[in-house]
Amino acid sequence: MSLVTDAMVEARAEHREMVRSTARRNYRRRSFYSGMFYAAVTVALGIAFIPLSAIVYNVLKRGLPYISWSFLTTPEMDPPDIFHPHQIGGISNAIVGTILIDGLALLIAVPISVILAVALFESRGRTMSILRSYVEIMVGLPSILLGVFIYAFFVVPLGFKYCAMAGVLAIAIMMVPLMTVAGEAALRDVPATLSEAALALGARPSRVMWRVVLPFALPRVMTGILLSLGRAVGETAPILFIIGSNYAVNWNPFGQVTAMPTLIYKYQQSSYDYQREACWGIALVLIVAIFTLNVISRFLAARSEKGRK
Amino acid sequence: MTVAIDSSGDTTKYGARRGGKTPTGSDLPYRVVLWVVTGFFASVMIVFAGSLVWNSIPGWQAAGLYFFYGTTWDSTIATFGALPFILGTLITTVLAVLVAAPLGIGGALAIVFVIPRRLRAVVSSLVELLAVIPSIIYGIWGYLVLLPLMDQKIQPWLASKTGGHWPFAEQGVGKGLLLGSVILAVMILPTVTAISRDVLAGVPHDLVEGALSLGATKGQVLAKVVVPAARPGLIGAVVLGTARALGETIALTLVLGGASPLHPIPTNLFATLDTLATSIVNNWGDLTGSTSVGALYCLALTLAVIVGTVNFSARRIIRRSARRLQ
Repeated sequence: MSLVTDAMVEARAEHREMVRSTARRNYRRRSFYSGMFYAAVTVALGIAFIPLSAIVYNVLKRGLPYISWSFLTTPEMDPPDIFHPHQIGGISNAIVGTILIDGLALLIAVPISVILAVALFESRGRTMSILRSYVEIMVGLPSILLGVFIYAFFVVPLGFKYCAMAGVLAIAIMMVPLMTVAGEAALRDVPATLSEAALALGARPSRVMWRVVLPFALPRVMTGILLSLGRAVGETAPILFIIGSNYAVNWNPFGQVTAMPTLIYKYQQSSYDYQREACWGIALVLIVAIFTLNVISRFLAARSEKGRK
Repeated sequence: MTVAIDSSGDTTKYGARRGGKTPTGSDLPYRVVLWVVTGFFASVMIVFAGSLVWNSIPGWQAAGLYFFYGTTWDSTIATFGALPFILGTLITTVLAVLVAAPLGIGGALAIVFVIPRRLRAVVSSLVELLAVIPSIIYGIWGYLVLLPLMDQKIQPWLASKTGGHWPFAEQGVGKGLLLGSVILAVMILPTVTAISRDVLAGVPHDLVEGALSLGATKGQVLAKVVVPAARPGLIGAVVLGTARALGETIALTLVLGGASPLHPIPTNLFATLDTLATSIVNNWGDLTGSTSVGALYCLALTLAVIVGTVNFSARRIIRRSARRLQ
C-alpha cells in the first residue's frame, strides 16, 4: 500500500515539475494549442457519431415502414407466393426462434454464472486466479468459435442434428463468462462491513452470501444478466450454422428454428430487392429489443445507486 | 448461545477467512455446490479447448507447416495455406485500430472533460448503447448503404484523383479492404470510447487540479497530465478493441468479398480478401471429408490463440493501470 502511495507522490512531483517548466512558455501560444486540442477531441467525438447516427437513422427510416402487427405475428413467407410477389410475410418464426434460444440459454447460464461469480468472489486460491483468467479470456473470444465447437461436439455426433438446442448451448457458453464477470464485480461492490457484521453475528458463509451479500448485489447482478442477454440476442456467428432454419413457428427446442439475426443474414444474401430491404425491418425489431434490455438494466443500476445513498 | 451452535463453535475460523483460509466443516453443502459448478464450468472450457485441438488434427496432418506460409486454399486438392487469411486478419485490424484509436480516445476525452456537464451522462449512455448494436446490423449497413456508395462514388473518385496508384487501384468492386476496415473501425469505436471514458474518469482529480493551479492550460492538462496518467488503461482499451476487431465475423463476411484465388493476399485498398473468421464462414459450405473440416478447425484454433493472447495482455494492462491509479 505504502509503495503505491510513494509511486503516486513521485509521479505527482514529476508532473508538478513538468507543469512548472511548461508554464514559463508563452501564454498566447499555449492557449491557442489548448483551444486546438479541445477542438480536436470534440471533432473526434463528432466524427465518431457520424457513422453511428447514420446507422441508427437508416435502421429507423428504412425499418419503420415494415413495422406492423402482421409483420410481427405472421411467419416468414417462403418460397414467395406467386400471387403476391414482393411480400415477405412476417418474422414471427424468427422472433419465436430468438426467444426460444435466448430464453433457454438464459435458464442454463444464469444459475451457473451466479454460482461461478460467488465461487470466484469467495476464494483467493491459485486455482481461482487461473479460473478467473480463463473466464476473462472467454469473454473476448470470437463467438464464431462457439458455433464451431458446438457443431463438432453436438450437431455432428447426433447425426447432423441442426436444432435450437445447439444454439442454446452455444449462446449459454457465450453468456456465462459475461455474466460471471459482471456478477463478480457486483459482489465485490458490496461493502465488506455488511458481510463482516453478519459473520461477526455468527452466520455461516452460505447464509451471509444468501441473505446479505446477494440481496444487496442483486440489482447489479440483474444488470449484468440483462446486458449479456442483450449481447446474446444479436449474435449471429455462433448460431448461423447450427440452428438450421424453419419457415414455421417452432417452439420445440429439438427442432430447427430461424432466429432474427440469421434471418437478416439470409435476406441480405437474397437476390430479391424486397427481401434485402426487409433486413431493415428485422434490424429495427432487433435493435429495439436490445435497447430495451439495456435501458431496463440502466434503470435498475440507477435505482440501486440511489438506494445506496 | 445459538450463534455458537450455528457456527459449530469455532468462530476463529471466520476471522481467518479473509486471510485466505475458508472454513469447510461448517458449511459443506455450500462449498460443494461452489466447487461442483466451478468444476463443471472448467471442464466445459477444457472440452471446448480440447475439441478445437482434437478436431484440427486432420487439418494439421494435411496442411502441416504449409498452413502458415502457403497462399493457396483449395479443399478439392487438400491444399490449406492460411497465410492470406492470417494477413487479412492482421491488416484489417491494424487499419481499423489506426482509425478507431485516436477517434475513440479523443471522443472519450471530449466526453469526460470538454462537453457540458449536463450532456455528459446522455452522450456516454448513447455511446454505450451504440456499443451493443449487433455486428449483423453494422454488416447490413455496410452492405446495403456503404457498398453502393463505395462502388459507384468513392472508389472511382479515389482512383481518378490518385491515378490508381498504390495504395489505391484503378478499379474496385466496392467490397474489399477499404470498406471492411471502415466498417470494422466504426464497430470498435464505441467499445474503445466507452472503456477509455471509464479509464479517463478514473484519473485522480488532484492531478488535474494541481496542473491547473500551476497555470497549465486546459489542453495541456489533457495532453500532458491526464493522458499520460491514464495511458496503460487507454492502451488496454485499444487492445480490447483490437481483440474485438480480430474476431469480428459476420459484418466482415458481408463486406470483404472473399479472397480471390489468383491474388489471395491483398496488395491495395480495393482488393477483396478474407480474414480467419470470415474464411471459416465462407468455407463452411464445402465441408467434404474430415481433412477440410479439420482445416477449418485449424483456422478456428489459430484465431483462438491470436485473440486469446491479445485479450489476456489487455486484461493484464488494464488491471495494472487500475492498481496504479488507486
